[in-house]
Amino acid sequence: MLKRILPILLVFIITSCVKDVDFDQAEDLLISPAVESSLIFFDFPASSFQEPTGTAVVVEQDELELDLFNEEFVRDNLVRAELFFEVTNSIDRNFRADIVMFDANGGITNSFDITVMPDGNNEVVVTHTELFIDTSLDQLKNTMRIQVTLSMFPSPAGIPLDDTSLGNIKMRSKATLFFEIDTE
Amino acid sequence: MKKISIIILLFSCFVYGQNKQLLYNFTDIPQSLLSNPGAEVNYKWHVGIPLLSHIHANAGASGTSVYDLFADNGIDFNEKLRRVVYSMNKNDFFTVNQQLEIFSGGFAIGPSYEKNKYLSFGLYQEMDLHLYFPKDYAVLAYEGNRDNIGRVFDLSDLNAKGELISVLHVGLTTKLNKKWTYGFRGKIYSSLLNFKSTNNKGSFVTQEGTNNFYYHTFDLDLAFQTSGFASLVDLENEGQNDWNGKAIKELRKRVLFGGNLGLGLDVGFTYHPKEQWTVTGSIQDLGFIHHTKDVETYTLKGEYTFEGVNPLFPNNGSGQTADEYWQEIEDTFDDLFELDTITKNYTSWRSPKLNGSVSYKYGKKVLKECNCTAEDGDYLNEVGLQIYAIGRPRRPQTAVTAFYYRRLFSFLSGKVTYTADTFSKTNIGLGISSHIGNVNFYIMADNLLEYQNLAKANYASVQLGFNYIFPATKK
Repeated sequence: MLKRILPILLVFIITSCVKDVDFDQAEDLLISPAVESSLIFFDFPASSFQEPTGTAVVVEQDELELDLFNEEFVRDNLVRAELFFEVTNSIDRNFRADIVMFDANGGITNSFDITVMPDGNNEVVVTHTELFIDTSLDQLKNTMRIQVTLSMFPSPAGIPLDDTSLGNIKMRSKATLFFEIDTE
Repeated sequence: MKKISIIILLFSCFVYGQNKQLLYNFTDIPQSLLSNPGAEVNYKWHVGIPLLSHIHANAGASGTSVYDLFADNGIDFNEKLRRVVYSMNKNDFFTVNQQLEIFSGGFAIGPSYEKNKYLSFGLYQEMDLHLYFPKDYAVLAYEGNRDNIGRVFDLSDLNAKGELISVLHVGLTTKLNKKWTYGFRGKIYSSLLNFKSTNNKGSFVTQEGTNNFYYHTFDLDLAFQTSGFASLVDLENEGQNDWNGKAIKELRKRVLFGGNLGLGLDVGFTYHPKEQWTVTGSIQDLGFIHHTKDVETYTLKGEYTFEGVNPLFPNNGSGQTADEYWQEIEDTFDDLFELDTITKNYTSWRSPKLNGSVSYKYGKKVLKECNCTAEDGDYLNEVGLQIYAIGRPRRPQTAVTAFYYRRLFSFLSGKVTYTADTFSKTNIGLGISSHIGNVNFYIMADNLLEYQNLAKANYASVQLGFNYIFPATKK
């Protein structure tokens, strides 16, 4: 009896198979998430920029270590990045934000600035998008440190700001990171 | 990341369930006692052919199939992947179940004039994996958060457990009278490997911010419990092959009482309200394993809301520099995402299984010599309905089966099943059991409609085995 059953089983097993599939396709795997993250922000009142003469440039500067772009995962998979800045000024002065990026050896990898002109104490909004792709992206991946400098230029009349001066200078910013993750 | 995605892809190829609707109450086969210790078997004794008495594996995935993802149809793989990711929901699951009987046997006991009890025993190895589709993790990995501002990613979507165990069992089946048969089976589990991550909580969300563009809120309460893995990872070795050998040797040591131990119970009955009617029911694997040896639990716990770096300028506000501020944020993130490894005992519950059936027997054999039915013979046909349920972390998975059993010849019987469950509404299965001399061979396969191309099936199973059975003589 087994002799009779076995051939039937064999036929069954042989005819059952996995057809029209190609597992090598998994190698084509590519997912492309877009990640957004808040970056730097500040909000300072006009009174923070007091200076007695009313004629000097007030400079505030700070920097931070940022090795995020150096992470292996980011190095391997980041294909495009955009840094978006929005500066809102309601102080009756010119402001300029200089953003400078440095690599591990202190070399400059990228720099740009955002200038915002006043409109009395009305809010003036300036935006800036810094795109990192190809060479500039490689530079971003070498970035270890970011320096932000905010400069306030004196008014033509040379009037210093005091505790009663109106307005604020604000910055909001975010990074949009475009990844392409594949199996390689 | 790459490795994980490949593992997930592989997972979707080999996916298994546990329903043994073909074997259930197929009392020609001794292994039917494993799904119902109260099955009405009629042997003097039996012994399973070692390592060949019960080989079981069944495959399925709810929500997708291998074909959906790997069809060689010219559609871009990533498009197919996208469809799969979006068509599945968090309650879709993959499970792998495999069993191999190492030895088994049984014999009738009781007074010689009426041996109404049957003692059966054995040792089998079982692997069980169950993984829900981590939908929100998949979407987050697939899309990122940019297009999902305001969407709360639910971290409880990660829900998986898996185990490799050996089960030593002894069962006693008692035929109380013509109507009632009941049975119990006690089990000692020895866990070779176990992992469990079934009580995760928390969320990740990116929302419109006030001071900056976004708030990113992390609320993590994740745990991954393991036993049996840490010592394997730490095995001293001279290369991969050496490690493989040592790991297998180590696992073998755990088969008989060497692992983390647990206890379990099966109960079941068969009842004939009328001669031709049969009602059965059973519960399997009411049990637990207590993990005390070689345990490691990894946890991620904490809450944090990030909205960017501020203040920038030291002489304004806090006097903190941006770098100090950022350092603090980095430290917080490191703490948040640092896996804490703790050694803590834990208990894993086995997935209990419930079976039930109602059936009707009819049609006795027509004897040629008198053209009449054999009064003392068995009925040749049986039709009925079966239900099945298995407890899983979120909710039980259930199946309904209609079956037809037929004794074809004295040496051959067969069972056809039609099953509707989470995987498929059109699952037809076929099982046969042959008795040649005292050798019993059985083979059963599931989802025959998809057999032409298993890749398209959500589910398929196969079970086969050899036993040596010495049947009870007819009184």
